[in-house]
Amino acid sequence: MPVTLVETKLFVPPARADLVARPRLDGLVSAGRTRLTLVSAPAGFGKTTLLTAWLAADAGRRTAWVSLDETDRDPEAFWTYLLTALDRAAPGTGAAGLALLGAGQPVETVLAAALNELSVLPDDVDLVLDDYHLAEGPETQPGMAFLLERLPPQVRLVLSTRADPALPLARLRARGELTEVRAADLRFTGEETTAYLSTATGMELDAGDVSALASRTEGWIASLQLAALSLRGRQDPSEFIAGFAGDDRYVVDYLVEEVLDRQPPELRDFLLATAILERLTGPLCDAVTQTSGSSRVLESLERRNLFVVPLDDQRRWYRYHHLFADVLRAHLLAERPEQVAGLHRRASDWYAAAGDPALGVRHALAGGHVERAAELAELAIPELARERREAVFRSWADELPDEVLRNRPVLGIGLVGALMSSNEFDDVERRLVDIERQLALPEPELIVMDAAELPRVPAAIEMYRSALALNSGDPAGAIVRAGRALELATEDDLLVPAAAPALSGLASWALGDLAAAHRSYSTAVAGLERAGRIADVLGCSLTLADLELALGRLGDAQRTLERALELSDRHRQGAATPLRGTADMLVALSRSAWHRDDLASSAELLRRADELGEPASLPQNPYRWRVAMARLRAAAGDLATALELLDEAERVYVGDYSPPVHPIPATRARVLVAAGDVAAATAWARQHHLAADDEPSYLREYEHVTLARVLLAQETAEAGAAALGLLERLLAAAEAGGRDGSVIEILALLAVAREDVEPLVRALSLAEPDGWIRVFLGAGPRLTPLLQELVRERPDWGHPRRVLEAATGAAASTPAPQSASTRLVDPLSERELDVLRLLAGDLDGPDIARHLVVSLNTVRTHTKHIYTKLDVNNRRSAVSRAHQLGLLTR
Amino acid sequence: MDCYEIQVQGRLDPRWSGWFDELTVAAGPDGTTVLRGPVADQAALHGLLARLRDLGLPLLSVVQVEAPR
Repeated sequence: MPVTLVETKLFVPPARADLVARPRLDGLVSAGRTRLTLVSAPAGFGKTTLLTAWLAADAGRRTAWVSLDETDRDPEAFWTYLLTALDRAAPGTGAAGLALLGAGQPVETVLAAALNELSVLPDDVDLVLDDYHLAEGPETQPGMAFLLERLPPQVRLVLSTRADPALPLARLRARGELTEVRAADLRFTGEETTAYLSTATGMELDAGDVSALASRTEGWIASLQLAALSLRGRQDPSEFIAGFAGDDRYVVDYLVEEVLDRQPPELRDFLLATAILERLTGPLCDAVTQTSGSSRVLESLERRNLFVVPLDDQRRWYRYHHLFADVLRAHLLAERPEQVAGLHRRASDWYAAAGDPALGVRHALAGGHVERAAELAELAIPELARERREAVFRSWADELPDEVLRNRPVLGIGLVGALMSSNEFDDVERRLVDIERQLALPEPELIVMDAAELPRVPAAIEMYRSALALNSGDPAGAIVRAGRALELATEDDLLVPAAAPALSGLASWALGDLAAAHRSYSTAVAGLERAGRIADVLGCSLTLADLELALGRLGDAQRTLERALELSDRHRQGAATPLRGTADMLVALSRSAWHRDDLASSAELLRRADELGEPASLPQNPYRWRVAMARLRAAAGDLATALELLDEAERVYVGDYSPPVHPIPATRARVLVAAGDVAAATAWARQHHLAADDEPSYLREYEHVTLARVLLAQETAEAGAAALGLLERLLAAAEAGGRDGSVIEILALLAVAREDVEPLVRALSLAEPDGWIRVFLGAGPRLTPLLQELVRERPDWGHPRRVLEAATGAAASTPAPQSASTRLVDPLSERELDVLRLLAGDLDGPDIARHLVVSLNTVRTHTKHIYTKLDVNNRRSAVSRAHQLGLLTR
Repeated sequence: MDCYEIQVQGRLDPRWSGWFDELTVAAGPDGTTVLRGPVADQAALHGLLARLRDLGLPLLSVVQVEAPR
């Protein structure tokens, strides 16, 4: 579920020009290049100001900045902002982590991917989180502790907060890894106060007056700022200061009132009315205050240092300084409570019209306008759902009170959609039951914003019930419900005719009924295309092609993928990058080419996929690409590299909804058998609890067939007999399930097990129409004599000869990857190749340095050169490009 | 509902009552302020404390008291 970014939160605030120099503090921070820098003090102590001043002074370090708010308590939002900020500061470092986050992976997996990149980052980065206290909570804290513990030396974490974070501060302090700046440090000293007041007021103040002010404000910069504002232009500053010093009221209160009282009434009204807004911009303020000219007012407030902070560098968006805003709001509540509802209402209307339903709903709720909030929500959901921005309206399911949902079935079902897409199933059935209750009511009692949506609700209910059934392990139930949903779907419904068959397909697949799964997925793909959800068409086409391969229909798989690729091209609409999933299509086509023994095309397709890179890839692509490349390397006889690639594939593995029927360890076992390492392959079978007398099941078919290969490779009579029995049972199961792809493979193995050509003949007949070739080679060298015999007996039959050529001329038919020096303009040095080889593994930066017996800085320099020469900006892409260019082959 | 008495350093005007969920805001001894009244639950209590923190008012004590009859 992608999070929509509020750009202003990632904006690095520029340093203010008019600051008083505070060398005492500058020394604190530049000395401390520690893992964690903590600036912890209450509001109004100048934390953000201090940080921006440091950053401005320290050019040459990249800065990743996030201004956090309460919405960042949600871990998905929090990590999205953090990784995006990192990726902007150091391009390439956040992409892998963001993809994993978007795929719903656990936070530690996400962070491990980011840390993998950061640990070899050539440059230094500061990661600054402003207002960390707003985001800290039980959901974000564990990930932060993990990140902090493993942060490499290149990255400095800087937190500004009003409350000490729940991180191991004592331990960091003891290890000298913590730089702290606290309230006591941030308070202005007498000297600093004098300097500040003289600059801020433009007046020369009496020493006694300055001392009285310093003492009353206790060096608290927020109150000093307010005092300075109050003093400016006064004829008798001493009188004001005496009055102020003699009063014991809360300083901010006193001073803000002073400041407010000195403003013209319209400005005072403006400040109080706009206090309800988190962020301010001219047109919004105009709407809320029902005036015009707010843009000029805001600019003037900024010029006069009246507590507005710009949020971008075009002077369009601002916010009030937190303390000032709190006092304004308190004044508003005290003086004009009856106006608050109306202010929120106007803000809500403005946001709704401006296309920001999230804030429209939030303000409506804040103003107590629950009905209006429900209206806005219902109107906004269809488009948000179409754009897959369910994260935006997920929170409405909690924020809209039950009473307003009791007669709004369309809103109700929309919220169910949000819960389902964030995998929160607990409350869904209750809501579905309530929506059914509402549908039984007479129509005048219902509130529906768009009448066309109401008839679609019954089908949607059944569709969600199907998803619930699937999720709770009841695939048969899911199929029934999906069928009901299709029956109930209206003519113009675009969602159910796509989603219900997809659910049905998944359920059938889980039950091992591939033919039914294939039918359902074909329907789903057509439905998705009609609904214009092209990205989903790509994902479903991948699944469809997987099913077609399993059913033995190599030609159909080819056509499915080519169609999807063509569709993706057509819908690109001139965008710079192809749709996400395009690279995955190319990898899948590469797999088909490999099956046909067209290794040159297979390699070329992988090359194209690698060039498209991360933006065109689904989260599963990194591992799929590596498995495909492993197969190519294995076909070329380079089994060592194939195994390395499979190790890498496992490290970057991300699953999806489909059943994991080709586990990487089983693929590795096949390569081990080909390499002659039967002991290791046997160990694999033991580790994964696979035995020859297992009951065949579709979900473990690939593993069982692999086991048969392993047993045959053991070359004992006992193993041979076990393999034979296993293969016969596997064959029966595969035939019953219509899985011709597996049938071909099993028959080839049976031919070897029985030393009989008859199964081989059957297999070749099945394989010939679509051109399956490499599936036979897994049966190992013992198949060759059988092939030769067949070619002698049936010289007119082409297919056995083709398979025989592939089996015997394997090395010759693979194009050797061109040596690095002919492909790169600026070839890598020996040392750089050493580092590159280690980048392919899972060692972090310091470990790589230790391994090569050099400093981390040397590793970083090499990495920088490697990235430049390979034209990439991150570790993972460097490794795939290296494989692509054959730089890592042995 | 539980009743709480929260004491902070500094003098807050009674006008702030609305900002603090309608607790009474009264002057305490030695330049302190006491906020007193019913608080719905722990989450509400922590919300109040956070608002006090955000104004920069040093927290002196938080005590649960008998509800007035």
